Amino acid sequence: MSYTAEISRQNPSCFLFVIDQSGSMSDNISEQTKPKAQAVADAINKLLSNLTIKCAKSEGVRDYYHVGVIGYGATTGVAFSGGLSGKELVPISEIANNPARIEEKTKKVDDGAGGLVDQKTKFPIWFDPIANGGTPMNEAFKFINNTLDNWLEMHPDCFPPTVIHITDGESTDGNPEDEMQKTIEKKSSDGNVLLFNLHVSSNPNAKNIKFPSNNESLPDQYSKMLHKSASPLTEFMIKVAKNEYPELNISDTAKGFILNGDTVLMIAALDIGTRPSNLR
Amino acid sequence: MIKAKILSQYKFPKGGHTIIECEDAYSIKQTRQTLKLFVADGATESSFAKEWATLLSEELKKVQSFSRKNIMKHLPKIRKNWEDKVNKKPLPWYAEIKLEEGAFSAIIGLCINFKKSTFNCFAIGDCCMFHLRGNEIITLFPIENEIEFSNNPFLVSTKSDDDKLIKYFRELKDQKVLTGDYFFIMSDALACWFTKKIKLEDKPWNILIGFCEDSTKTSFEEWLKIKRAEKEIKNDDTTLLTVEIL
Repeated sequence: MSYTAEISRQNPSCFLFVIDQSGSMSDNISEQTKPKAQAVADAINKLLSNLTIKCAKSEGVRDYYHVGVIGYGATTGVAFSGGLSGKELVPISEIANNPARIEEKTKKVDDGAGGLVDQKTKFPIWFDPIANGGTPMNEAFKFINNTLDNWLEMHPDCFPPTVIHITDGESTDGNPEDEMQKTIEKKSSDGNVLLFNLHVSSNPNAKNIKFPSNNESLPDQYSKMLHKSASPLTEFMIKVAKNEYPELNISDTAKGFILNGDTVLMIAALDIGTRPSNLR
Repeated sequence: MIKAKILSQYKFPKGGHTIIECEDAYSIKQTRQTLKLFVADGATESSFAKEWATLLSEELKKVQSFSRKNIMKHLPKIRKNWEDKVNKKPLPWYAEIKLEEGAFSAIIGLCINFKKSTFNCFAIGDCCMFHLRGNEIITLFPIENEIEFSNNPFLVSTKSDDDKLIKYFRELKDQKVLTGDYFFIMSDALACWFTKKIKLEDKPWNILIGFCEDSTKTSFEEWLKIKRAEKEIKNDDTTLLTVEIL
């Protein structure tokens, strides 16, 4: 049965975040005042933070995952800077210990007596918004396909790698479908690579759409291409989504695609994507 | 008056982990009148779960009766102890945030009353007790079907969640105990295997009682490794307490 391999420090899995840093990402998201690049930076910082917390134990962070962040825009390649600069895939504990900075934010929490109180919480930052150059999506997927080949050669029996791609979809170096197809055809003995496409769009017709099974309500060719190339959610992910995110109304044929999701929804996507039944 | 003999107290971490990383905990308290045994299983997804499971199993030894009201009355103090323990030193950012989520653990407690020849048992979550009489398991508690082990059970949290706790608290009161009975208390991975084998009429207790004759514990550990490798038992922290009634 696929997607049942144990995820452990002896048999880690891999996460690859692929982020669009092209010039078009400076436009605002449809119906929002936030530039797409800012939404992507917020999402990736939150996603990395959540993944780290998921692996945190009392003694430190366990390396259940190795993580890479690939950016594409004016250049294509590893997007880490500082202590992680130039590293394609790093153990999650290194991510945990090397944020560029840690900001403090205030959030409202339940005071246990029916009211709300302010509570300070730490918010690590690894990435600031970047919007520069073209959108070489083909090149980016060629890059990550190479990264995935190397990983799978070293970890042939791992829980299959997960790729989370955040973009506005407007590739400037040709149709990337073939390269994305190559991505989802790669596999370990436990199943195929899982590709989530998170689409941030400026199209005025782009509404928030979550994990659709078909492309009927998608507004343009970009979202349709990204939906087509995304992996179907696994049986276990569908179970988690139905049990814990009933508001998503996930169908049994849902795909790993979200259009104009806010950070909360992206976190839900990550949670669903990182909830194998066998994290050890 | 009946007596009880503890035949085994095993605790092994999941494969690939050290015993320090094991998030199961157990405790035993024997007096002239009673024998109390507890097994707690800290949830892997939370941090400081080992500390929470250990505190639950140790502190609940002090509880006089296993009524829901009494167990719940003790929880605030145990939660406070956990808070004090984990907040002793400054933590990195991720540990601080994770701590806000709290820790979770399953727990089961068994109290055998020698004079009355009865037992009481309570459980929250998927640690289990099996009561053997003659050649038959007469009680599977709180889970009777192996399918239920695949669900996410409700666990005791370091956060106050008493409304839910009331709903998920399970108890057995004043059940009869006879000389020659056996009790097995275990965490979920072994309990799931045990439950399956009962259904298949494989008499799994014979295997577990057999290990009790081995004072080195090696044979149980070796057997467990083989069963994990054969995927018959989930690779998870495993605890087993076995009691014989004399």
